Amino acid sequence: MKSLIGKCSFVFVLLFIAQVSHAEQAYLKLESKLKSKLRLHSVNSQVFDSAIYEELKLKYYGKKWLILLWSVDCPPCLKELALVQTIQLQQKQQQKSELPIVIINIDTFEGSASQRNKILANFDLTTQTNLHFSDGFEDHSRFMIDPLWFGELPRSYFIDEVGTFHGKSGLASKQLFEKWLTVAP
Amino acid sequence: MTLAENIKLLSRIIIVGVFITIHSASAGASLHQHQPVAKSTRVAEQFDCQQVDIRCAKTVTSAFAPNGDLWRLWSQNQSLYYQISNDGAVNFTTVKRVIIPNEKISARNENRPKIAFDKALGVYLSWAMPREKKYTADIRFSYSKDYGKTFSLPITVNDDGLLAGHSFNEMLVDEQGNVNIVWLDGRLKAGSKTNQGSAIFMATANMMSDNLAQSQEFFVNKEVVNGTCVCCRLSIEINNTGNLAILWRHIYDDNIREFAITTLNEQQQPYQVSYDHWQINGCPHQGGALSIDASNRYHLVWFNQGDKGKGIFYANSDDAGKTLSARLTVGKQAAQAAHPHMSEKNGIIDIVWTQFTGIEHQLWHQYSRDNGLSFTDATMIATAQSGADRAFVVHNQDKRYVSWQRFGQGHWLSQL
Repeated sequence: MKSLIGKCSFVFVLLFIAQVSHAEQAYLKLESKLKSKLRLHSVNSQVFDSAIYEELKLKYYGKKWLILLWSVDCPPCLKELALVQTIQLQQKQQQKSELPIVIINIDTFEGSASQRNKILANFDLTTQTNLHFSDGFEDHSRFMIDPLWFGELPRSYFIDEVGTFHGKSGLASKQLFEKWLTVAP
Repeated sequence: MTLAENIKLLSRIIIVGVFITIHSASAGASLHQHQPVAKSTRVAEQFDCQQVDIRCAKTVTSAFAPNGDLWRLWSQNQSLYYQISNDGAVNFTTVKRVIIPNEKISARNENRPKIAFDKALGVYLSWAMPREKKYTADIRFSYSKDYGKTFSLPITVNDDGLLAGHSFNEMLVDEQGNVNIVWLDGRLKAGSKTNQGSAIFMATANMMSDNLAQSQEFFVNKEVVNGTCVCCRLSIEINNTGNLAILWRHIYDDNIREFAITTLNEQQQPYQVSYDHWQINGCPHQGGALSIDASNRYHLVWFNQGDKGKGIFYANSDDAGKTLSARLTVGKQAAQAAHPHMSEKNGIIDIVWTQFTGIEHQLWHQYSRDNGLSFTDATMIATAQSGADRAFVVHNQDKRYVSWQRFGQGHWLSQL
């Protein structure tokens, strides 16, 4: 009996340690995520990955928001960035809060970072949340956002308060953006 | 252990305990409709892309010379590099640089350098060289009379002298050594607010001609058609009467992006060949493929995401695209089937395309032995872990191959 109690105690201790260990790992993961989240608010031009994507979805949950995907090789994408610039300016003039728009650049080729940064600076969008795909994971990132998106650009996602994504390929109109974001023209 | 350390430990245990509860309660639940995928090892980080290495290339162009050698060509650090294999891509020569002055070279997605040969083993190269203003480039050309030992100083093929878009070049050298270069050209919309899309221009030359300097035809630019999509590759082929046929993505009406075909010297107006109604004011980044068989049957593949047709389609035409067979669906739309290429050789029509599972890229193949009436079941023939280029069917005499560049893994060639 003593032996049985001893064995049971041993198993219990092992289970407890395993659970604590698991929880500790999860805690560290959360801590890392929180740090990353803090980073998200202060720094732009980060690599898009699943952790940041989840954080963004959490951040905007309950609100309407937009994801805009673009490439330096896509002329209509620059027209879309110009629209965002205009809307951003309106927001600033009306002293409204941050625009819920996340801009994601899909380019990973040699020299794309400098081209990307130059374009964002030209459109005064460096303070808007902007991310970019990482080399070798372009399609993984595309698939993560939408497994039915084939890479055509520009690609916009209108995301509603409950997190439902509505995808649109091609240049969207300013009116559509304003309507979605309920921004007064 | 100090009191402070005890309090810190206790706090940590409480936090962990609370987290056990929260984490357990939230396990399996998700607020979101899109699930992230696991990352695989980033292969490209395992080597230095400052060094010349084909694994670093975003595109590789392959072609067999008339002597059976396989050439593979890529761009890195503003240079063109190549390797030659005389045993079907088992062994390659050391990497050789095309000895010309460094310049920018477009080499990604639909836009990539081209290589072709004449029967005397002349080697021809063409590419797009980005210029100083965004979306401008020139079409460049260089050739070698000594099978790659030396290359001519590159020349600009577009003759407009404008800082405008000239890109997405295709090149074909025919039996007589006529070099046909066809490209998307933005010269007509320079300064025009009403002009929609790009135009297709072409030029020819014959470097085997004895009186080259006197030739009036030396890359004289000719407009083929206006109003094309600006970012999808072209496909060109010589038909049975020796005329050049061109397949491209055209812009119809209000940004309806459909494929069109024309055969030079044989028709006034191009034929529209797809009716999938893909309306997009943007860049599909997906061109088609054209191949013409011995009976002058035109075989076509294309990709669309229209409200009347989504996915990859195959069809053929016995009247140069005026009328088409019933289209066949290729690959699985739900599995991201995209970027098809196709070529016919000795009655066999090979179609290759890529699919993506969210974790790995897959190269798929199916073929027809009955002139495009029916195709074999699709089979997966290769995979890639960290990105993949478009695949292309290439021929060596009667043998059929597929060429596929896999980022980080390198170039892969296999007989079909």
